[in-house]
Amino acid sequence: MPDLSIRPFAAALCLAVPSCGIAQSLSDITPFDPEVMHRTARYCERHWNEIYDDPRLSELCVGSFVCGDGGCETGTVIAVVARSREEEMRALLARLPVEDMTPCDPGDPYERQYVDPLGGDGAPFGFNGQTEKLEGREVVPYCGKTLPGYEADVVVALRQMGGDDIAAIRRGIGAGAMPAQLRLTAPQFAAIRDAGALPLRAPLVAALETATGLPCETTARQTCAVTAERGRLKARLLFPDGALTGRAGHWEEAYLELYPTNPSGDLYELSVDMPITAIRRWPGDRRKPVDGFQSLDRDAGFAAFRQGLMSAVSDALEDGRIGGE
Amino acid sequence: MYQRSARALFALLVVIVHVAFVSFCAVYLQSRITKIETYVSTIAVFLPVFGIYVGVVVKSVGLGKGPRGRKVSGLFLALMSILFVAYVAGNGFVLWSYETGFIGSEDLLPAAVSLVESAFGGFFTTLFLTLFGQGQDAERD
Repeated sequence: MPDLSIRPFAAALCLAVPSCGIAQSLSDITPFDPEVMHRTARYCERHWNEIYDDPRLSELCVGSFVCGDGGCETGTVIAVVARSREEEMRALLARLPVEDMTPCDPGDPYERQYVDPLGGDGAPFGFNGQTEKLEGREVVPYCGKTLPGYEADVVVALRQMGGDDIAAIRRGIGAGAMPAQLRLTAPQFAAIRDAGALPLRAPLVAALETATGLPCETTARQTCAVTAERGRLKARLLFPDGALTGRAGHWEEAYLELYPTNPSGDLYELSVDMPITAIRRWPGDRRKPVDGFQSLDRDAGFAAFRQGLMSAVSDALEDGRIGGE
Repeated sequence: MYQRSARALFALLVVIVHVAFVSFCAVYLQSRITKIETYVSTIAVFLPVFGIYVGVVVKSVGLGKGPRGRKVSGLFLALMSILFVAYVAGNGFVLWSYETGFIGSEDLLPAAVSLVESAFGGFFTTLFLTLFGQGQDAERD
């Protein structure tokens, strides 16, 4: 390999410049191929009970994952790498759509289980059949975040680079833990993912303006900001006098994230996550409040509001404005 | 007679101002407090002092003959007036702070109101009792 000598320098540069990881390109990603992903993933998931005895596993399941009842989580990737190839992997990561990928933190409640992947009572969940090849070697576990929709591609790229020196997986989530979902076709998924969620912006803004009856803009009287950021469409909303759910006399705040998800090989969805819903009773003709909000969980009014937005996005998906020809 | 009328007027004034103030707060806070629990407890913090005034005034002024009460100096009345103004200003400051965002959370309101009530309301109420209720008892003994 002629460029081998450059890699340590690239890795050292990445360590010194934190923003290095942000400057990814997609040139190292295998072009999106729903057919291959569909076939290999389905094969492996159907036979996941026999998976551990199958010697052809590493070839057959190169693009697939067994995450659990809830499917695979969006944006997370775990890789266990032999120390001898750690620098090489870091150099590759710098060129992948990865937000950050660092050695797993023992203080983090979720990352803790991966800190010692070869010790204890067997491999951590998801690593069964993956880490045997690394037994007896010095390894470093990496926990990372990818841009949404690129988890499978990052894992495949790592597995292809590492061979027997890297075990890479996606992380699972429990059943029923996911936010609201819209079904996507493979071309719609690819269109949304590859454009960094930007195609969703226009339909969402139009839906917000219809729902609130107000222009979507940030002024002294309201906040309505919709941005495509790192593969996710993020909307921050603060409206007076019940414009979102109809609670008269209340200011209402919501934070939404829309991103493509790929919970299993052949399933493509659009997650509509709404982690912040809060209200504050305050006169609508005053300056917008910044604090003192009471957060609401599983509120029917906000659920209906989100459903309305999802309905508008569904219209845009149906009539081909997103991912259509 | 003159002194008794002055006392009655002062007592009525204090009660009327307090009733008006609590009523205003009830309406004002109704459009500004999200949780009903916080609303109720904020109003409730006003009420002990309010209840003492009403009780004392009804007892002192409402009776036909009425108490003569203890003789009080101008300094005493001036002190009472200052405390009363401080009490009203303190509560006004709490509401103004809430309106302008200095008190950012409604959860702080009951504590802030009770701070003013304890600092000025308690002191003021003690003097108020001296002026009316306690004086009567003292003379009977």
